[in-house]
Amino acid sequence: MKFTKYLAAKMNVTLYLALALTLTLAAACGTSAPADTTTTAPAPAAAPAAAPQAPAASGSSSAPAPAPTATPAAAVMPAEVEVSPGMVTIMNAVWGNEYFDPRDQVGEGLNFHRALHAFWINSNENYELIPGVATAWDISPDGLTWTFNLREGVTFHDGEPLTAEDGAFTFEYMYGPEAIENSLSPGQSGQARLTEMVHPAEGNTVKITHKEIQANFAFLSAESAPGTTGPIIPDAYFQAEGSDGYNLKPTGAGPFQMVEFLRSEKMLFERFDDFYYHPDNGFDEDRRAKFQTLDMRLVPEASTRVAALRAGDADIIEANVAVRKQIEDSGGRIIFGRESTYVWMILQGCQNQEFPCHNRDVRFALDYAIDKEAIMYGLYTEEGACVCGYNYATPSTLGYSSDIDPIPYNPERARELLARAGYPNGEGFGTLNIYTWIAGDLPFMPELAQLVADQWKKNLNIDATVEVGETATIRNRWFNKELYGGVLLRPNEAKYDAGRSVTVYYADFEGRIHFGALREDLRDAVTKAKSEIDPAKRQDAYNEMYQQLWEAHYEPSIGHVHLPWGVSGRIATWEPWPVTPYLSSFWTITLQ
Amino acid sequence: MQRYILTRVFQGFITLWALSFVVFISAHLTGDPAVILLPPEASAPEDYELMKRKLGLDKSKPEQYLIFMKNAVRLDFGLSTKDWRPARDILLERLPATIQLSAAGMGLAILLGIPLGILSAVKRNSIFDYLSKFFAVVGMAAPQFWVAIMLILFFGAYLKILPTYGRGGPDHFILPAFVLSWSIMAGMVRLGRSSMLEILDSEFVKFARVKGLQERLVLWKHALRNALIPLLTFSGISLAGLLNGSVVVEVVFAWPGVGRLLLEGVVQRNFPIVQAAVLVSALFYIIAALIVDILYAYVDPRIRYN
Amino acid sequence: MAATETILAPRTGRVRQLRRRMREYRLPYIPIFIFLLMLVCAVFAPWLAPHETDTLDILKKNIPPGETTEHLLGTDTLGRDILSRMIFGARTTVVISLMALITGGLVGTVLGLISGYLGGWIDAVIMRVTDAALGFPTILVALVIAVILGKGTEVIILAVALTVWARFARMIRGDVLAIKVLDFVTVAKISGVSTPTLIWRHIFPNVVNTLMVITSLLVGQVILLEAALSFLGLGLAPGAPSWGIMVSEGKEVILDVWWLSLFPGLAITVVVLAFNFFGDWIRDYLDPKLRHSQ
Repeated sequence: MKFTKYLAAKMNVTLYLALALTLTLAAACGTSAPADTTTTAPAPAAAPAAAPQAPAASGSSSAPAPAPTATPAAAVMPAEVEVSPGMVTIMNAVWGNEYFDPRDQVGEGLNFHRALHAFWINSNENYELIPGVATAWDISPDGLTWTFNLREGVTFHDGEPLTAEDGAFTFEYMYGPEAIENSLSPGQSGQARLTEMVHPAEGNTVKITHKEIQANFAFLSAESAPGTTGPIIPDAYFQAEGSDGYNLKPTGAGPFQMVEFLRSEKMLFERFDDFYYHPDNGFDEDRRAKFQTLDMRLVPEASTRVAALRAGDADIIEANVAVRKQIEDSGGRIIFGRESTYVWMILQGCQNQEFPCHNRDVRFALDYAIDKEAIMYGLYTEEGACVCGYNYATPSTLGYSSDIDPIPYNPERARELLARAGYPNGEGFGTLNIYTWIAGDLPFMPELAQLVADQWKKNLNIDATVEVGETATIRNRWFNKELYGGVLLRPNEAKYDAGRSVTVYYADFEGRIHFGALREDLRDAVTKAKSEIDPAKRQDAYNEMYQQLWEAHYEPSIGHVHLPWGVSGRIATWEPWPVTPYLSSFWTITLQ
Repeated sequence: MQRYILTRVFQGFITLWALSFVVFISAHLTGDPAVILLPPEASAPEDYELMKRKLGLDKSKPEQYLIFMKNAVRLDFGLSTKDWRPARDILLERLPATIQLSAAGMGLAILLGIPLGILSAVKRNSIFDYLSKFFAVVGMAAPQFWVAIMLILFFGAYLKILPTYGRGGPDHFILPAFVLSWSIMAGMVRLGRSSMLEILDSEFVKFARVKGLQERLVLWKHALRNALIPLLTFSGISLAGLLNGSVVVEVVFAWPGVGRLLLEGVVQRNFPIVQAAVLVSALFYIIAALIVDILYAYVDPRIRYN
Repeated sequence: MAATETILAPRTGRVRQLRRRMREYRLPYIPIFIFLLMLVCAVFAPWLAPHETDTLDILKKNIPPGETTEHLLGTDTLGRDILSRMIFGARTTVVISLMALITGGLVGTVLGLISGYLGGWIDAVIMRVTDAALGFPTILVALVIAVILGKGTEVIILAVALTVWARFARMIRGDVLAIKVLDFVTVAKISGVSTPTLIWRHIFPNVVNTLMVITSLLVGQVILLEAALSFLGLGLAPGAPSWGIMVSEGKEVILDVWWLSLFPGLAITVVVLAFNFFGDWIRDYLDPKLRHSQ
């Protein structure tokens, strides 16, 4: 064993010598980082995995990417992977309500679910749905019934096998009639209301029938879904412990098993050696953990997290771009979880004639007058943000195409349009209020609002004021339609499938808490996109919907921000997924 | 004396009731929590009604207040709206951390603050006196969170001799307890010094000296005892400040205590949590104040109660 | 009662007496200087500050102090001039402390006077409310007000005022209890002076000293409270020119962009120190028996 390791190391050295030569030709600076790769696979195998990421790399060509550790992940890996005995300490700022019961999880606490649970369907960094616990899934021709075939040989952390009964129980628990009243998550209640029935398990298949077409149900059941709708929980154990007991001593089939849990303080996990996702079970990738212990901590204060990283008490922290230098000084680096948060600018009440933004020219004028590059890159740096996509539709999400990118800064055009709309030089426009709040997930919201206001003033001579409120207060006023005539500027978590947000905003005419621009003319596109069953056509249907929204332009778009993780020098590799505002792809974390 | 204590206890309850009323009112002044708890995606009217029912907001305000009072008497503050567990249970989970930290902080303040103050009075105008004065003065004037972060960076990240955050062994207490108690300690140093000086200057100490008593005896028996009285009062008052202070300290040091719980509750409009935290901490404050008053009566028999 | 006599002393030779006393009482020149400097900054902020405080210039961010004469104390992460924000910060501090202490002091004094003089159930009620106020966490007060009014200086002012009035009430009441049994009050009462007049003309002048002492000692606490609330995100809106906001904006980059939090942090410390010294001096000068009051 030792000898082979030695040989491998030797081979690495020769390989890298050759690589280094070519690299030094390309880049003048000598990086010493690549010497830490743990696998022996040749580098070219990494190409297919890395290529699709390229378009999302958002024009940040100037600075060198942090530690280019070419991880040939998709390569043919030996069944025996090197597991470091070490511990990885991860610090988060929020943990939501700290529930492992997937039906009850509310809030931004998705960080730990991916460690504990196994999911019906897995994903990759391109958001393709790939087999997970389910080997195959299918939707009936009428679009109402979904069928999942479960894999054999998957076990929970307590050693019990994961069966179709567990799957059926999970669906019944998550979407059964009981869930409507008892789920703590309102989203979950809503989904349960749309469910007709969960069929009893037959052999290794689980079936669920909906009341209306749920085209995105497979996505909802995937690891990459924005909530916790994807995990499978153990029937017998869960029933024995009850939800409360389960939340304290959870068991799943995911890559880590829980060892210790102190609420609002600490979650200690150990590697689950029998995690099913590895080449022996027919996967081309080994998604078992590459280290022994995972220590998750809740540390609300950012400066404390940075100090802990510098002290060597933490390995991965939630950070922000401002602390980059302090992290790099201590031998660490920033790794971006790309497209994690978008800046959502919503003109309020434009369906009413009384407001200037009823006129489409005004909406475009406001957009043309914003120098997005200056604002976004100034606040969040060029590597930390991207002026692209249309609000929720960021480059890696369903339905994106480059024709919905933000419109370029053009103050002359903005003035022209405003004059055409009947407000030459801003005359008669009145005051424009920008409402925003101080967000935990995106710093500098008030400053961003101020910069936008400054540019509207400068370029359009419109009196724009900024009102910074408390999150809950502004949200409340938004829902009560008290922001009409103004602009709401808020961050939002990116989602691969933003269909639901769009529906609520433009097409949910029956809903009570709709809060904005309900539009008959947009309703069709939205409804059509939502009910498209064929996965191949979904992309186009979504794109068409976004095109129409872009044309209507009730939401001028500024761009999105990448989530900066501070990573210590101990961590050799980690490749978080895009569009994922929480910890993802634990299996790519390797220690030096 | 007994009557005095009884009256004070009764008055304490009245205070608690007044507080509970204010908390209830302020909680309901801050908007509809049902709307806040619903994510934008959940738009169905049923979701909203369901949420209101879950929160008990479907009843009239007076009715809500009666239910609140009835339950509060049994220390039942309802379910936390974040995780729908009893607020009392959550509070009890968090309470030990805060008590440990406050006790450590108060202990540190007393063990360090009082001797420093008294010594600097005894060794008046010495280097020691100036140093302890400086220590006290900065402790009272520097923003707590700033001090905390600087200490973490220096002792945790630079010297690497103390942990940077969280609970753990005894060494985890050093920084947070110090930050929490520095301003109290500073007050003790100043107060201890000035009252000791005053007493050393008083007739009866002079008399004791003239009588030819040993200097040590004069200091420790006559002077110290009297100098402790104002310090005792001050400790009692400071206890009330500990909760406010512990919010900042618990946030910076990632300490899972009541202060942080209160802040989270306040920001998330989690009123059961806020009510529980405020009332329980007020209860502690009232008990502490009562104990101090009673002790005070024993130490200083001159006090009369009417 | 030496202090009372001093106040009530005849006016003749007052200047000379004052000058002598200034020497005698070791007037705290440095705190007074700092106090005046702050006042000047506060009043003339728009003329003194070299730049606007809310214009962001991202191209000029993180300029260290002393690098350009344009930004003497450097700029912050968003390109705002630190010196200008410091000067306007003085104004914010003065406004908040002044307004909060005047409001809180007024309410507290009136209640303390009434409570102490009238006694009985009125006293009991007022004191229990005072206890409740002292046990009420300031952050909750701040939040409730922030929710109703939005973010801004008035939130801090109200939150602080709602916290400090109880201390005034407590202390003033204690004084009144001691004063109301004195002979001159009894004499006035017998000669048929109405209660309001009695409180206003006879008792109030005798608690002015206490009032000044508490006020000067509380200024420091008010400033620190503002800083703490800003840190917790319950105070002023970020970007507001306030020392507390500036320190908490700079706290994350303390090792890198150290000037961001150092200058406002120092300003807070120095001003609070100055007020503490000044308060001590006033206390010793006006009323040595108040030495134990914190």
